[in-house]
Amino acid sequence: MTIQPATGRWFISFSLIWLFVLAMIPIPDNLALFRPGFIALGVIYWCIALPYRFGIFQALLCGLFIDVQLNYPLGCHGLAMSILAYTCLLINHQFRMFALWQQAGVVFLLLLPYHLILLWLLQLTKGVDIGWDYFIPAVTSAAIWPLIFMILRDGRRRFKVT
Amino acid sequence: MGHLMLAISISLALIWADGRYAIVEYARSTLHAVLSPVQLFVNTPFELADWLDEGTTSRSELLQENALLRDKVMILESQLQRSVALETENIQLRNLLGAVKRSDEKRLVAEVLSVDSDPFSHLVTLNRGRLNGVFKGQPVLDSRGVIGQVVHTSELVCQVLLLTDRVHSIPVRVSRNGVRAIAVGTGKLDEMVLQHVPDTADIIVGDILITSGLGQRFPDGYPVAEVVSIHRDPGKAFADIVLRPIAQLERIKQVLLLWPNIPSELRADEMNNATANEQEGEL
Repeated sequence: MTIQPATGRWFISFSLIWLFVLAMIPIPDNLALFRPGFIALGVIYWCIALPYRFGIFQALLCGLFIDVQLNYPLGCHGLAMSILAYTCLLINHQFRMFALWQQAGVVFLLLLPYHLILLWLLQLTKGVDIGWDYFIPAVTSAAIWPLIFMILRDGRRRFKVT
Repeated sequence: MGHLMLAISISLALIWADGRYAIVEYARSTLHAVLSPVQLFVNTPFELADWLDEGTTSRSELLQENALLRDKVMILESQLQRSVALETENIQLRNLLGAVKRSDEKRLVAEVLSVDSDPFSHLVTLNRGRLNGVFKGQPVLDSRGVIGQVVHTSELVCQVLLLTDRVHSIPVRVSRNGVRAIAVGTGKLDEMVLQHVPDTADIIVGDILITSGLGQRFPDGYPVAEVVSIHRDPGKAFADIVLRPIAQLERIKQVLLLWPNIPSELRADEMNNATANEQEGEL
């Protein structure tokens, strides 16, 4: 396989910046629990769609930015994101064969260990116990996956990101 | 696989070194410097809405508000007169006792950015950063009392951990009798608890807790919380004491950053401004 020259790479960063914006927009406190993990969805998408452009280290960097935004010890989201990216790279061929609703199910399964790792790290480093609420975003993220997938795919095709 | 191992090692090393080595804090503020434009961008529509709101207020409303504010300034100024007298008296008494003089404090008004973060922690972002002299551990107040402390700084913005966050504790004393304790956040915006207070301690519902100045982080004497309920169980070693923060944490918009031990230029400036205004008025 010959490696294609990279084009439209700006769109990857651009989409991730917008996902960060979505992650920061203020919403009422009782809804904040249900906010999907937009950045994790973006990382999953790019690892599946362009595994040779977007990999573990890019995911790690995204994770570090989330750590800064949420005031976690630096590296918590980084670790969870790296593992998430690795699993995506492992299953990306199978993942592309799935229908959208099946993909949503897989996204949910991918996000469970992601949130579990974060919960462990949070308890380990800060000693706070949060409980099952912490897994709610995995459900809402899976629910919004088809939308994110279609938007990012259309963007990728329009700007010929390879 | 090799990449994954490397990424995991980097992450674990960072987690371990966070809070131990200054280099991690430096890395964090560098990342934050990249992220802060996004935060400021998210805040823009809300700022714009505020600005439009201000711009479309009617003249009569403005006049009304102005009158109200004038009254308030009048009342506050009259209270200030008394506090100036009290302060000089306090300094004299402290001199007589040979106690350490209380120093004046520099303040700066900051605004809370409309940016959300983790729903499980109480963290707000302010529109002041290291360029304004903000430092890590700096106390933050609103017009009523303490709201928290700065935990991270970058050039343009800083992050403030509120009193009610699960990992925040603040040394306090009861203003009535000086009983000391530590107030800890619970993760609810209107609730804190007092830790390790013996059943027999003289604390009653309605007591006001103020900063004790111990711990070297918050200066002495700022209101923190009010006691709302006490439950004494003879079977337990400590009393359950629930507090409500005095600052309005659920609707903070403008806050004050405090520089303890830096004399404020505010008074001198105000005097100069006042005299300058008077002179202009005379002219």
